[in-house]
Amino acid sequence: MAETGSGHTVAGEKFDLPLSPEVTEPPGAPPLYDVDTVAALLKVADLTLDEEWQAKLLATINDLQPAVHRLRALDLGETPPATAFDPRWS
Amino acid sequence: MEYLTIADALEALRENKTTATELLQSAHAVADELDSELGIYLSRFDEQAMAAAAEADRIYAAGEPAGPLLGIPLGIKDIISTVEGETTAQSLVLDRAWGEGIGDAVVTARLRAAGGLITGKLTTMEYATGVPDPTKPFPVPRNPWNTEYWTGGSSSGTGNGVATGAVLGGLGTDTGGSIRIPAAFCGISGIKATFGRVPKSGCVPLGYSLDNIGPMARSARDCAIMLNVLAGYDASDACAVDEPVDDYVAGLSGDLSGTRIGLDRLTGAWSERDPAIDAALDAVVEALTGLGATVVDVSLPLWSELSAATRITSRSEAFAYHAPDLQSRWSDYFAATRQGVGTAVAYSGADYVQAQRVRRVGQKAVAGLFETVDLVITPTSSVAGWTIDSLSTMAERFGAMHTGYWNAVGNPALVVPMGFNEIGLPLSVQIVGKPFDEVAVLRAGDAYQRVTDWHLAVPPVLSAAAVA
Repeated sequence: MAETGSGHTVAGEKFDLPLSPEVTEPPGAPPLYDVDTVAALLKVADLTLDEEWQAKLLATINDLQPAVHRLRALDLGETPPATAFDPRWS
Repeated sequence: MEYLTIADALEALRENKTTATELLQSAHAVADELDSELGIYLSRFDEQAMAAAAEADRIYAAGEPAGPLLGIPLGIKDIISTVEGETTAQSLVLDRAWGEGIGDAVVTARLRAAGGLITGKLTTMEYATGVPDPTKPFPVPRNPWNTEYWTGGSSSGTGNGVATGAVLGGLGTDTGGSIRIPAAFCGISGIKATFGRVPKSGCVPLGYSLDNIGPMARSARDCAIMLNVLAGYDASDACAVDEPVDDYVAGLSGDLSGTRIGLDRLTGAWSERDPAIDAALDAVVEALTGLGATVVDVSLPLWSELSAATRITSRSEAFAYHAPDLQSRWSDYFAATRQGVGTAVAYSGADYVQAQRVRRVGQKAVAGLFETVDLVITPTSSVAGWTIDSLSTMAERFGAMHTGYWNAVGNPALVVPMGFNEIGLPLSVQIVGKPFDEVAVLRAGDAYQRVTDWHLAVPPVLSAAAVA
């Protein structure tokens, strides 16, 4: 399992990254999303689901949100994404 | 029937101790006996394969040059196109005309050109994601080591097909572990090569920037034989990388002298952990040390972040592909596909880009680690599997599988069996190398299998069948 810490040097480059810290959400914290939020997200995605499926998705989304928020909290400086547009036609 | 590896079968064919027709008949006999129980095939190409076997036998008899897989029965996961029949992705949703005009995918064509006998299309999880949905009209793949248990996914039919000898090798795909997990749960070997190493055109996509096609077989040597055929650039795949291809079989020296291997037991990676894993890992370390390697403890950097990046990337890219059908045909999808891909509605565009930035940082961090070691080993999974009846809650369990991290950074990763747990389910170790260093990964796996025999164990379902 990765070490924890606030600074990390890779190939001579310094990154101020929290390396796989323990989950920071306090125990018993309320879920980040609720039924209304998920309903709004589904509307944006043009998905029409019944209440049973909205509830199932809500549970899964809330399970995964700590990981999403962990990534959102990272300061990656000027790091570009690991994708590159290829300008060739084919 | 003798239960052969690809290497054994090729030797027997070359020495005229068997024929391709006999090998194929034996494989068919296994499938005839076990397919209805295990869910190996979605469709079989018996007539075409028998014709190809007859041609292979003619070539051997005439002493003409033989391809490296001439006469070997091989199966294709049913998200990869073949000329013989439609591709279904084991889904009611995929247009059955999807493969028209494609014919053989590049990888299928390469296996065929090497003399492989394409036996049929093997089961998968729907669109290579999720778990079985017994309400849908498709087979539920069962583990040959205990049929109450799942094979793992998504290359499920390749897993249980190879484990039983219904095929001697086959193709899987791997977006977050779909080669390595069923290989682990079914007690066979499988490799996800470096991203871009094997062309994936002609394959239904799941996560464009994570998908890999690769071989699954009983041994690392068999994987090397297949990868020799599969690897190499093809312009039809925008992700294919034009790098020189090594001779993977020639690299199997059996000698690990001077090899430095980092071990991360990933003990804190998941709450559930099979108690047999650590003793099995200890034995792996002892075997590798005996082969000349030095094993040191390491900590994989950014474990949680890169695992999360794979999940966000996979779900977002899959949602982009499936959104129109999810909107119009929601109920036709497997429940797990809906629940998994549907979560992408909660990821913003910025989340997706942030995940790609984490992958960039992760690549550098992993490269830094590989400045100190040649290979990394971890358990493939914290568990040896789950019962089929328990799979409805699968979404919360993917963290038990330690494979998605390597899709985020693209390194080659081989899995090989390393023992059994107390109820007789296989355990597996994952061997990871530097990008494009599949030779080192396969050499280590092959060397380990020269001094162990876990990969030669025969599942009990075969012992009970007349074909064993």
